[in-house]
Amino acid sequence: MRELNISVRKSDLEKMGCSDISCRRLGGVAVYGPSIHVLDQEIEVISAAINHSAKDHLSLAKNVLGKLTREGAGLESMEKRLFGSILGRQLRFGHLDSIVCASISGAYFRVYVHYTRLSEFHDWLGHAKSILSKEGILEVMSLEKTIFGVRRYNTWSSSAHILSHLVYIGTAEYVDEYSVRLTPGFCHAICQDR
Amino acid sequence: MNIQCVLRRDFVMPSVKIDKQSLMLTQEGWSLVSDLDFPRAVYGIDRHGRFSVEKIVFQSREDINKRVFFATESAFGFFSPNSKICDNSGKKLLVGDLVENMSVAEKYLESIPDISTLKISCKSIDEIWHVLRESAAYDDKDQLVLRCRGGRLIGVNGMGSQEIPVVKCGDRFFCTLKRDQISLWFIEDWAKTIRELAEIWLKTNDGVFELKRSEYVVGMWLLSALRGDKNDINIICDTQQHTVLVLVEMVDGQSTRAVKRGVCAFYILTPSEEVTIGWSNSSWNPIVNGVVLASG
Repeated sequence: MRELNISVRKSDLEKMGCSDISCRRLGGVAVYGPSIHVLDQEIEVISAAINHSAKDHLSLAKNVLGKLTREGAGLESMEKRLFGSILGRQLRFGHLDSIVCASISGAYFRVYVHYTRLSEFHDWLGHAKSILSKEGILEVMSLEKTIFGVRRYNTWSSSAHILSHLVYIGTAEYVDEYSVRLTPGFCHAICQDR
Repeated sequence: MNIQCVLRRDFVMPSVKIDKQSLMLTQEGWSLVSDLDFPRAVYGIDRHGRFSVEKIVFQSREDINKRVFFATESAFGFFSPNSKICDNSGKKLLVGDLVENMSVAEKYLESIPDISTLKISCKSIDEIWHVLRESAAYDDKDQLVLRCRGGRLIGVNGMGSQEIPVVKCGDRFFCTLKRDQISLWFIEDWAKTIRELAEIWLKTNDGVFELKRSEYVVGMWLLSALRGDKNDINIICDTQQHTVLVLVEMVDGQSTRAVKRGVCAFYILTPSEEVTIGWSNSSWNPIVNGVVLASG
């Protein structure tokens, strides 16, 4: 584990005794480093760790992706804003995409999917939708078993993300945090209208 | 005779590369490039800034592995990384460079023109219906159910002459659309229809229209309808580097600004097709996704 020598605060570099501070802007965030070479190198290391972590999972919440990235890059700690700006860079280059989901409270949240796994995510979304229209109810655990077979790190969460996206679209609604059901009233509404 | 031949040989037709999912402004409104038959008359801007029609021809097609999502404060859509656009000073910008250099927020572009007098085609209605189906909570051949993105602001009954039924399921609202009915309304008055549909389906409790990136076809029709009403609009993306949702905000108390800033540009790594189109009038440039393109 090592300390990171780039920061979103110029004062951090000044405290380290750097006199010639370099800067890169990533979205609305300025990232500072002791030289442009070190700055670019550190950004590349974190970017590669983001890609690697995302590729290993069907989908990831931001905090989990942050944790895996920090571990992957061998860092003791990483500022949230710094991680957010480099994650934004990876999104800008298309290595990752985000998918909007709805939580049980109705609030939106975004999950991150590596571009090589997007079609897989959408295939499982279609699969979950068809199970839901047949069975009427779908548990996260049951979908997890269908997709991954055995439980591994983050497999429950990825399955939950699929169902949360169905809630965002409106196909499903939460029964509780472990299961969703087909939104009642659709068929009724359509049949009544005919 | 010889001189004429030399001139003809030296003439290089202005051309530009666009993505097959780009939207061109035809006499029937916004049309996907992939659905266009060439040669085709499309709208563009001449050297005096006038809105005019020219015929474009197909030149070539090439498989590419990425496209660019680009949004300004007044328009958004998909481009090829090799598309060239014109900023408000007439300078040519490569869309891929906006992503690479992260210079999107420093660029100012012309606002989209008022197209409220144009008639919508059946093909465009099919394109809109396709987007609605992709976004639907439930779809059944010729009708579908959409989750309303707001709730509090919906008057459940009385949507005027074009009534779009809204039902409440739990604490959420859903609207039901029938393809034949909505098609008829679009033909009668597309601007009114898209505004009413957006008020019911897309308006959030915060009073903004919330669109998914993939709903850009609906988005461009909506933005054109709002522009026709002389409303000033403002597009908000998640960040300059990426967005999954596009929010359209109505700006009160301002006249429509002719120049709009870039707000977001990023790559989408997915197989696509880059289409090269050409035209003969070198003092004219076509409009794609609400942005004026530049030849070269």
